[in-house]
Amino acid sequence: MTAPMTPKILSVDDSKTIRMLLARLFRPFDCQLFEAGDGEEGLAVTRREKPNLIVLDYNMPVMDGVTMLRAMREDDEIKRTPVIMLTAEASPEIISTVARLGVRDYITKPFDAEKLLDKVTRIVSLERLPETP
Amino acid sequence: MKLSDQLTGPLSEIARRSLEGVFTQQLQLSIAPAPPLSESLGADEKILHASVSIQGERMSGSVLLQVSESFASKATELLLGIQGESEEIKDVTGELCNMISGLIKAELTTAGFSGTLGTPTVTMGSPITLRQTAQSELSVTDWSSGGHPVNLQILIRLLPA
Repeated sequence: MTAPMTPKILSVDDSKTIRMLLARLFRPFDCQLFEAGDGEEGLAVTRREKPNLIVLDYNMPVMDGVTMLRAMREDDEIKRTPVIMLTAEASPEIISTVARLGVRDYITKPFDAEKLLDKVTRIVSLERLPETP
Repeated sequence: MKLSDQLTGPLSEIARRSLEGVFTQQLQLSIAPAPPLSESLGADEKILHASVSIQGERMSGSVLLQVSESFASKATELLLGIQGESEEIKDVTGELCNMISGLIKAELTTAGFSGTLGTPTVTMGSPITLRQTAQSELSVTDWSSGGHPVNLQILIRLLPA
């Protein structure tokens, strides 16, 4: 029997604050967290690491979240990667676009970290690490 | 017709709701009306200005959040659980402004003024006031949160059809 793999989660956000907040949120769990500051970098990390879940912002420099998502959906190797949008953008057009592109959930900022964690655990199985003294 | 006649309430009310929404949910801090920022600041206390632009077909605008450096440090500790370095403190202030701008934009969209948000820029200096021009509406509101002064300004200019 093979041991379950440690899930890989990729946070794509130009805000270091959000990336640090997610790192803090996932620290108690057995998972590997990767970070990217824009869609272009996010796409490169996705192709290299094949994450089990991406938490994706919309409004970013270089490449926005929707463009990254479109590029992912056209790439056979990563097109099924689950994505949760986490963004300050709440326009109906963007929500409808990313829904068509198959995002699993859409969370607007400000957000409740526990609710995000709940949505993440519906997609990837997170095992709590033993507490260090 | 004035912009505020087409919104769900005055810009100052949208400012209050948006600021309160972000501060209570993300920082667990309440807000209360306060005297102008310039009167509430300690001597030599520095201010962080975070701004985000909103661009739409029918309007353009800016959101400016001004907080003292000590408030920004406190917000960083509340949000990230660390004593942040200068860059982290600036980034937290920018992200708070980004979230507030998202809520303001959502209210503008509901009233038929859709647009897109720019990315936040953060600088440091003395308190400033956005300049109101013709065809624009400006809301300047001052608050106290966690014992610190907070200033939020919204400037919206209606564009010709």
